[in-house]
Amino acid sequence: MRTSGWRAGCLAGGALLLAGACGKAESVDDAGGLLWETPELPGPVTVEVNGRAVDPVLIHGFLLPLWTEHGAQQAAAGAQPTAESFFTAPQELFTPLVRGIVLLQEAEARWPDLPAAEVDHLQAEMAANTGEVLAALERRIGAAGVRAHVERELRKRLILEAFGAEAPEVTEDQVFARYEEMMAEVEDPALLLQMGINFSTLAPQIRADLERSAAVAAQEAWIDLQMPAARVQVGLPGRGIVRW
Amino acid sequence: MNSFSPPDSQDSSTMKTILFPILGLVTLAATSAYHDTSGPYVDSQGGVWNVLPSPDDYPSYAAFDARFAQEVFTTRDGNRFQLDRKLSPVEAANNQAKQQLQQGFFNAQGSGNNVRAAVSTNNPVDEEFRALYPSIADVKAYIVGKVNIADASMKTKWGIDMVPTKGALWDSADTADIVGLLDEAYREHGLAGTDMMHAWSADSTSGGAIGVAYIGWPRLLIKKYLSFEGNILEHEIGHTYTLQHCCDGNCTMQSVLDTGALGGFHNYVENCSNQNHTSVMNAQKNRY
Repeated sequence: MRTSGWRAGCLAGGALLLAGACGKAESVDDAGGLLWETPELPGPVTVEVNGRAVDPVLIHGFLLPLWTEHGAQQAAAGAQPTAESFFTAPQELFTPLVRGIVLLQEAEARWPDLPAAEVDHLQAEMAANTGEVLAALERRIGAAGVRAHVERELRKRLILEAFGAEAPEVTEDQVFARYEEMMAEVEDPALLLQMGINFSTLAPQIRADLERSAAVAAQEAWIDLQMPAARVQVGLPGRGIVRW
Repeated sequence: MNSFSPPDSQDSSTMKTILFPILGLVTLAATSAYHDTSGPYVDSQGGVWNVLPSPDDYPSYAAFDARFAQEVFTTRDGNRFQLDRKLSPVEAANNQAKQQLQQGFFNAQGSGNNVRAAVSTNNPVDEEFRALYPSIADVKAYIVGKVNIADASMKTKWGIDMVPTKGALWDSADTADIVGLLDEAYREHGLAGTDMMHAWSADSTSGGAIGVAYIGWPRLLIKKYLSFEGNILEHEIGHTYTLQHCCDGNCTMQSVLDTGALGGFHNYVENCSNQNHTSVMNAQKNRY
């Protein structure tokens, strides 16, 4: 903890008439250094799946967390992250994105036209739940970019629901078994019961969680079947085009 | 002057009023010496607060909540915020149990989560926070873990990933109140080319608050508080987009932190906040 320099200066000088000047902001130069800094994502990177270009927003959204993590790993080893170190194994790196794009392309084929009212509703709901985060995203990718993002999210929901409808039904016994497992993991289950948190209050949330897991499992099994046929082309800085 | 102030706040205000004509700027300078603050703060009824109210100044947490749960303060720069108070021992224990329970949910992700947009964040971390960890790598790992908690519902439900792309060594000012800390972090570090600023502090001078965000600005501050920083972060994100405290038990914007409500926002006109988050957000989107 430090004493604010400019306030200390105000007092030390005893210059009461300078009180107004003491309100000036501290210099950025006084603020100290960086704890960590992730360099700019190397680019340009392009991705095509089954002959269709992937939106750069998605490429950025997929790569940025991985690049940040890679930067931390490199820093721990005393090295800088570089395009070369990051793109060492392109197929392994991009496969999770390709899986998502294969899913999205299927959703676009099943629901080529989305009702505007449904997109509007989801966008409003998203804004309500993500607050300044969505606003920050909009400042970077624009209103059209956000609209495209909302449409993708709606299609992802629709297709997950469709896979969920095909998944085995979750039984009451499974819900209860999961409840017992969860309570066994809690240090003081009596405290939860005392708060009125019990099987009847938790069952709907547990059921929804199990149903989502079943839907995701069905969806992933479907993607597994599609992946061998997926054609992928990735353009990397300094590496040119890589295909598989 | 307001009629609700706790003794130290109102007394200091009253005393200042009496002494001001005599001592003039001496009083102002002395006040500055003891608090790096963005105050005095004005409450919704026009009351002036030189010191932020704390639960410690009130006979009970319930008494504090009755007065401040829905209160909106304004800084001298016109920024508005609500007080997110520390928890009572009973509330803390209850929240820890709820947090353990929440960790039991699978929250299955799936490949759809790889189709997402990212928002970058700058993370100033003060010296008291850093001192709790043996290395910078540990600090970063901890913060990333907490961001991921707040981020989990954001990513799964909305396809947005908050990424801690930068962390800054922040040397926080002595004797700052929590709003002063937020202003200081933003003044010294700001967005730094990222989309949002999340400041992290373990400074002990918060006045009983565990986090703060200005209503409608992409900047917030999270205090090191038990194991709840991920929940605090999600709550403060709500404030940044004008959400105010609610009473709905499933809402993450309750005035008293509720780890069982992670990811929950109401979508109807709620009595305490008098807000429907959806309509509020739609109105706010027009700002951009």
